[in-house]
Amino acid sequence: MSIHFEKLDHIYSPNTVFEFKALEDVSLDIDLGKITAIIGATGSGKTTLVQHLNGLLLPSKGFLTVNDFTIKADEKPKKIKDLRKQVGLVFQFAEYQLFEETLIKDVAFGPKNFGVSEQEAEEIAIRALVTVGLDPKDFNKSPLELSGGQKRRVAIAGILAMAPSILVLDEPTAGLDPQGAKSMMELFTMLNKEKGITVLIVTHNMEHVLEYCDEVVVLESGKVIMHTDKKEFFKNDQYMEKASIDPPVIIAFKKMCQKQGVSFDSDVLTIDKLVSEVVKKRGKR
Amino acid sequence: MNKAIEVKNLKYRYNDDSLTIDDISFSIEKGSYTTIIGHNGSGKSTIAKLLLGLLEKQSGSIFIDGIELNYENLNQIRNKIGIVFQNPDNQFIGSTVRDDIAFGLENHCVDREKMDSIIESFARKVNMTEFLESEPTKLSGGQKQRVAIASVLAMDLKIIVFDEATSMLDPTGKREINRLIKELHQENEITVISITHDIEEVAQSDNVLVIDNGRLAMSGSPEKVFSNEKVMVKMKLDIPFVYKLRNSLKAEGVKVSNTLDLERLASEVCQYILKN
Repeated sequence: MSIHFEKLDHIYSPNTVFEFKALEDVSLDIDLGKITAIIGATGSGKTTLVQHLNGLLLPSKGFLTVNDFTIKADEKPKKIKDLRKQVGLVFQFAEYQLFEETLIKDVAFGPKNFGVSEQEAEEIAIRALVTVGLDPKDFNKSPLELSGGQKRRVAIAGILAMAPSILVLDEPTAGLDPQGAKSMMELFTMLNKEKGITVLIVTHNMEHVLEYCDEVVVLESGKVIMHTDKKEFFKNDQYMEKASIDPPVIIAFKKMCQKQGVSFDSDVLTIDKLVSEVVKKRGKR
Repeated sequence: MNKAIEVKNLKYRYNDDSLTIDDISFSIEKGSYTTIIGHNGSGKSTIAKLLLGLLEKQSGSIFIDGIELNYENLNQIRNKIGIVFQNPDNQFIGSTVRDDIAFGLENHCVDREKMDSIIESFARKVNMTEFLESEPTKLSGGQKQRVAIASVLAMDLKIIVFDEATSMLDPTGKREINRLIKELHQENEITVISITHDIEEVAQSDNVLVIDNGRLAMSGSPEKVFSNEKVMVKMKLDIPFVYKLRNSLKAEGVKVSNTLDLERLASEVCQYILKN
């Protein structure tokens, strides 16, 4: 069981003047059971990459396997519905896609579509809404009455209701206030640690990568230029610069110090550790 | 008159439930950089819309550059204050960048001959000269916001409200717009009012207004606001890294000043380590 990309290309509008190669020769193995961040500049192919995972986009060349499913270029994918039960994809600004009269109906829509009875679908919906941390007194309200962050939680509950083993989130914290973003990241961590769900997150937020993710995949102009664990990733800020990504503030700070002749170890990644290093360095002189 | 904005006992409600803006008073000095913070739904954007006269207040008064805002002088007010919105896709009228900047000028009956040179000078200011004939839809988010800023600047406004103008941009776009706002503030003496979630931006501003549940919960210098950590946490707001680091350093006896500037703190730390 794994997620595997093999020499995959994706070309938008092939054989037209708008032809655009969004992914090129992507080979990638993503470990199950972890939280993996997909990062890169705008237009580097992050969204295109993750939309292959549930067959929303099909490869133009190469193939990918997700657990037992294989999706090849030039071949109509089989059992795509089963794949979509396993891989839940949450789009950017997912709250724009809510459409039902109540939270419960909106979340129950997915399971009902997959053939679950009405009553059972509602029970599943309630469980999913509780999981994402919404208040039961809101469950019969219209999604339109909620705040942006709450609406996004409803959209995520709609995906969780299908009990995916892989959850893919495209910029899930964009536009949320800092605390809203933080509790959203904590939700994904909980889903990963307690329910064993594999989580893939497309993000621009390096503070989140530093705090919550295990692995990092860096895309640049449609190519995977790096795939490594978090620690290794933050050791080398070249990649962040290359992908025009803002480093976490603590790394920016260490870099400023380095320019003035003081270097800190790459595993100094918290304020406490940094402060004790400063005290130690002073003492040594 | 050195107040750009004065707000007294402002009240507003969207529906019958509760007040969205509940008796807020504050004033903003000319040429200052003010940030307005508060969690989603606290009423920040409502204040921005009230200042522009896009929403009609229920009671209280708003003075812009000494003139009280009312229905009759709305045009006069809008010659003084402009706004850049959050969503870069929602603020275009023209079919090219040039037309878009021209739109506001046409409305202000600026001479055709003058218009071209005004457009070009402001396009230069926001670094968009090479895109003057481009279609706005083909620009990146950061470029779109730069055009929106140029359109506001071209009308010779002295007060600009940025309503989460960078929150939908990627880090590069964000950086580029934050830099531009800072430049405009320093070089053109523009009064900047920025509604933001970016706590590092707040650290760089002159004044902070903290809004919670439609009320003004706190105001003052960033230093003063951050020092009230309990209130900040209660209102679901962040404390910036530079403030946390500085205070942790001080607690351990490291001698650093009360700066909120990351570069400055870095050089002070280096001096502390290197010079005995």
